[in-house]
Order: sequence, then structure tokens, then C-alpha cells
Amino acid sequence: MPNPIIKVVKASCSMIRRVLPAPFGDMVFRDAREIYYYYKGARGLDQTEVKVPYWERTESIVHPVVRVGFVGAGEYAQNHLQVLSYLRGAEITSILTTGGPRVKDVAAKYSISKLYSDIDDFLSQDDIDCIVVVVPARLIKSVAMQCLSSGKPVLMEKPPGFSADETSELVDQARKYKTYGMVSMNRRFYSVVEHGLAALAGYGPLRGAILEVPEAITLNRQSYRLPNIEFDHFMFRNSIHGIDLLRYILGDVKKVYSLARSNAQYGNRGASFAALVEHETGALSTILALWDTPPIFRLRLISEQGYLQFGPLEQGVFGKGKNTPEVPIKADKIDIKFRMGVYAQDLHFINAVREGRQPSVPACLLPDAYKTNLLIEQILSSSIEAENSLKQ
Amino acid sequence: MPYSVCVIGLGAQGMTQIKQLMVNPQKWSIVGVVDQSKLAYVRFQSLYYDCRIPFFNDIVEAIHALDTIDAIVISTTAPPRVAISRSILSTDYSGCLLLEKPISTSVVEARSLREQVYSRNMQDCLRVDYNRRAADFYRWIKRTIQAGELGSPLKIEYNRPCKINMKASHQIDLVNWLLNAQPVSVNAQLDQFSQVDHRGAYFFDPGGCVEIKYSSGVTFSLNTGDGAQELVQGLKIDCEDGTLHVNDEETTTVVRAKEKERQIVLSEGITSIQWFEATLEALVDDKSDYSLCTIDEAIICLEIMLGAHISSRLGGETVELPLNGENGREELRIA
Repeated sequence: MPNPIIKVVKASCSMIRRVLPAPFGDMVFRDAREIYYYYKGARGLDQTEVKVPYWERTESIVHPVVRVGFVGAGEYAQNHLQVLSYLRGAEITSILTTGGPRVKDVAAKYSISKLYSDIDDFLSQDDIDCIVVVVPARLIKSVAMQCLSSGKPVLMEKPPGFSADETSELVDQARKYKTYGMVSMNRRFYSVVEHGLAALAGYGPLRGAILEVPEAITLNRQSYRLPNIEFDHFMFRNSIHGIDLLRYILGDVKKVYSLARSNAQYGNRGASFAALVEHETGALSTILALWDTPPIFRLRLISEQGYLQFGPLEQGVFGKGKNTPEVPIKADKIDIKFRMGVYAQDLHFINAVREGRQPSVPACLLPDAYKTNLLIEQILSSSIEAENSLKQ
Repeated sequence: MPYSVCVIGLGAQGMTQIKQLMVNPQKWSIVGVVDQSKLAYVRFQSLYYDCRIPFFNDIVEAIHALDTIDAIVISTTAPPRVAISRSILSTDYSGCLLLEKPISTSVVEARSLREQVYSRNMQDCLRVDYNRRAADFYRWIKRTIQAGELGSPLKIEYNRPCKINMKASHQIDLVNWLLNAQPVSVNAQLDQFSQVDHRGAYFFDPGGCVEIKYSSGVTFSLNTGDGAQELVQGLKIDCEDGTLHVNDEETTTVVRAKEKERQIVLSEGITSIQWFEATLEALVDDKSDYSLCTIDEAIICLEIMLGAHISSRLGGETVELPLNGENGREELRIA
């Protein structure tokens, strides 16, 4: 497309600016800077190369070595075991399981010297510095409650209970035993998310987001791969990652307006949930969970001059406008070697244990996780209908 | 031993300040940074991951976690500055505090902070970053005026298209300081529109014409709207026996006295971020020959800007200073 010919008329500040609708024509600008911005933005001649930041997460301090007591040996536990055994500054010294056949192979693979099948014996060890809990979702809360009573820091998988009240019990337990619990919200540590957010930081205030979290609930139930209690709390079990990430990025929630069609009496078949969220930061977000629709997760974060789009969350692009090509976001190599986010998260936890302090941002500690579970409850509660029925 | 500094607010200004302080590790050690924004957190990591600088969401958390902090720099946007300062003062922190300008968007808030500062006897530890005062360039001008070499100032003019709060407020504080006189009234006609920048569309910081009258009889006229392009740019101080003219890049001053003219290049290559560092150094070193902007002086500057907005809204009516009554309860929508 040839450069348009523009006749520029210098205007004094008392003139009213006119912009004619045709792409070419007489336009009135107040100064050269306005011409520059008009061309860059409106006419798609923005060829500025967008650089999405990239950095590699590394382990810098390895002494003293942090001794980890690990709970669980199932499929997902392998993700944490691989990372913790890779870290030079951590050592998995013991493992607690239900005593099934897999544990010996796991112990041999990760050179774990002590095997336990009794939790009281496991917790009575005085030569572990922290505990990592990776058990089925329905057991996390009860196991974590016991582990917190040891007074040692605990990294636990999500969800920290199937309700805000259950998470609150964990918060109280941690406080009672003067320790802390960190919940494995590893999406916060995804390098593609961090790199994307770092790019977006230079493009004006973050104004809002749109989150789509569909779940194939009927197919899942029909697989019988989990007990019913986990399907009955599927938003806490599965959708929690996307909802927590949204809350983490946009800030604490001020108000939620929600509509819920849970169809709980039919096993949530065709369930639909929609929420409009106002955040303390002033940002607005929309959460749409249409169950039994194509399971395509999508998160769009919108700043004044740019946006990020993830779909799935492991793949993201950064964009500035309709006339600027989207730039793919590159993941850290470590997130390709290990399950995304787990290396950075577990390293963050181990460093905090070594330094004797609570992990800071982006870690999700139990009080923070409580707020996410509260948001989930607000989404499920159909608040608009509740308010309307009160008015009646 | 370098001074340990904690920076709150990792927007463009905060990041520029950190970059400047890290150029001189013998003098400064960034011991912690604070921001509530997760975008600011990751942007910081993208540049300084290997420095392993502790990051906090909250300054109180940082104060409790860090062993020593000699100075805290508050570089957030304007609205939360008073609240953050108050939370710092509610701890046992006793180091220095340097706030970016303006001190607040509200005179009421700023005055309440002043009360708290005085009640904690921290008035000598808190300064506002109107950093021209620490520039050798302008300190020379102050000494020249004080010495009476050119006689008393009669009229001051500043011409340059720019935003009143972002850029021109530096000149307002500078003139307040150079004259050492009380502003008594302000008139203004501000532009209807304000260019949207990286701070966000919500913020409104136009240029325009502002006239400030001082108790000494001097008038300071600022032309920062589009019409300023037609005028000779920079700061011009007309005195009884001569003039001083500082160019808009703030690198050169021309002194005309008794039909003689001399041009002095005093700050070529020096940027305003180095003036920030000089301000911080003067604060932590407690340099008595520097006259940094106090909380009282920063409130005067805020009142002038608020008064300009009020006057412009009333069609250029004169607004008396200091602001009282309804005028004192106005708030600016600035970053």
C-alpha cells in the first residue's frame, strides 16, 4: 500500500480538530507528534518490533541442602519428584505412601532412602526441613492438616479443600503450628505467562480479562477415573488453576455478579456458569464456564495498548492491535524439560525454606488460596439470582 | 558501605531510578523492591532475575523482612503515595523517605500526612523529589539570585509545550525555591484535552497557561499549551539589572547583565535521573548545604496545581492560595 499523501495544516490551539472519514484527505493536526501517533496507530503502519522478554530460571544457592519429606507416589507426583531430585539444593530424604507396589520403584528411581506407610511415623522425623504433599485431590486437605501439625512448611497440591471453609481450616492449622502452607498453583510460575506479562507491563494499565474455563464433565464422569466427590467439586479440583491465575494477575476481588446453572441433580450435564468480577485494582473480568462444550481454555488479558492471549495456557501470544502481527511467547527451556511451572515453583519453595521465611510473590500461600476458593464459591452461588430473590 | 535502598513502585520512573542506582554499587545497594502489580513483578524479574533482589507486595512486609533500610523511595503513581507513606510511618522505620512528586492528588490527604510526619518527628527525614534543587546548575542560579548580582527578580516566564504536573511542576517548585516567597494566587486556562500516555487514559494532565503571583510582587507565567511552540522555549528570569535564560533542555543558561552576555554550559550530558540520585544522596548524607523540597513546600506546589485546575474550570478566575474550604477538598486526576 503506498504511503498516503497528507496535506498538513498547522493549527493553533484554538482550532477544533477535524478528521475526515476518508482514508486520504485533508487532516488537521496540532503538531508533528500527533501526525506520528496517528500514523502509527490508526493506519496500521506500526512496524515497531515487539520484543517479548525471556529469561531462564536457575538455581543459584544450593547450601545448606533442604531435606524434603515427600507424600505420594502417583502419576502427578512424578512431576514434583523429578524436579526436586534435579535441584542440587534439595534432597528427598523420605517418602510416605499408602504402601502400594509403586513406591519401591519410585524410591529407587529418586534415591529416597526412607519409606513410610504410617503418617505419624513419617511426621515424627526430625531430620526433614519441609514436606511436599501430592496426593489425590479428595485427600489433600486431611493429609495437609496432619502435615502442618509437624510445624514444618508444607507445599501441597491443589485444591486446598473443596470449599473456602476447608481452606480456612488449613489456614488456622498453619497459624496454630506457627508454620505455613503453600499451594501448588503452578500456572503462576508458567514461564510463558511471566514472559507475556513482562511484555504487557510496558503497554499501559491492565484493564481487564476474559477467561473461558470449559470442562468436559460428562465425559469425565463416564470415564470413572475419579470418585464422585471429585467430579462433584470439579470447579475446585480443575478450574481452580485458571480462576486463581485470573485473581492473581488482576488482583483481589471486590464484587462478583454471577449466574449459575449447575444442573447438579443431573451430574452437572450441560452446566453453565458466568461471572462478572470487579477487582480491587479497578479491573473488570469475565469468567465463562460452559461445561460439556469444546474444552478449549482461553485467557485474554487486556491492557490499554496491548493484550495477551493464551489458549491453551501453555501457548500464548502478545498483540498490540489489529494491524500489528501477534508475537508468540517463548517458554523457558526448563519448562519444556519439566512440567510447566513446577521447576520455578518448587525452587521458590525450597529457597524460602532454606532462608527460613515465607515464600513471597508469586507463591500462593493458604490465605491467598482461601480467596480463590471463595471466588469459586461466589461463581457457583448465582449471586444475581440470590440478590433478586432477596429484593422480592 | 553502600546505602541500602528499597524502591516502591516499579513503573517507568521506579525502573529508571533502580537502573541509575545500580550503576553505582559502591554507593547504593537495592535491598528490596515493592509493587502490588504482578506485571511489575515479572518485568522486574526479566531485567534483574540474576540479582536475586527480594520482591514484596507490601512495604510493611519489606520493612519487617529486611535487616536494614537506609532509604525508601516511593515511585508509585500519585494516588497511593500518602497511604503508603502513612503505612511506613506506622512502623518503627526511622530511615529516610523520598517521595516522587507530586506528594498526593489531594491537599487534604497531603496535610494529614504532614501532621503524622510532624507527630513522629520525621520532618527532617522526608523529602519530595523536586530534583532540580539538587542540580548544580540550578544551585548556581539560586546563589546568583541570592547574591543580588542581577538585582531582585521582577518577572519569570516558562515556555514549553508539556504537561503541567509531569513536567511544569518542576519549574513551579524551582521558582518557589529560587524566589523564597509565598505564592498568593493563581490563574489558569488549561487545555481541554490531555495526551494519553503509558500511565493510562484515566489520568488527566493537560498543558495550558498558568500565572502565579507571589507575596514579593513577582509574577510567574507558564505557557505549556500548544501556543508555547511560538515562544522562546525555556525558563526566563527578568531581574532589575539583567536576565537569566535557561534553555528547555536545561543544559545552558544565558546571563545578560549590564549589556554584557555570557553563556554558561553547566549540565551538558547530565540527565534528570542523575538529579534524582543527587537528591537521594543529599538526603541520606544529610547535606546541610542542600535545600531539598520539604513536605510543606511540596504541599504548596500541590496547591498551586490544584488551584490552576480550579481556576481553569471557572474560566480563568483568580484562586487565592493557600487553598481553603471547598477548594481545599478538590482532587487531581493525575498520575
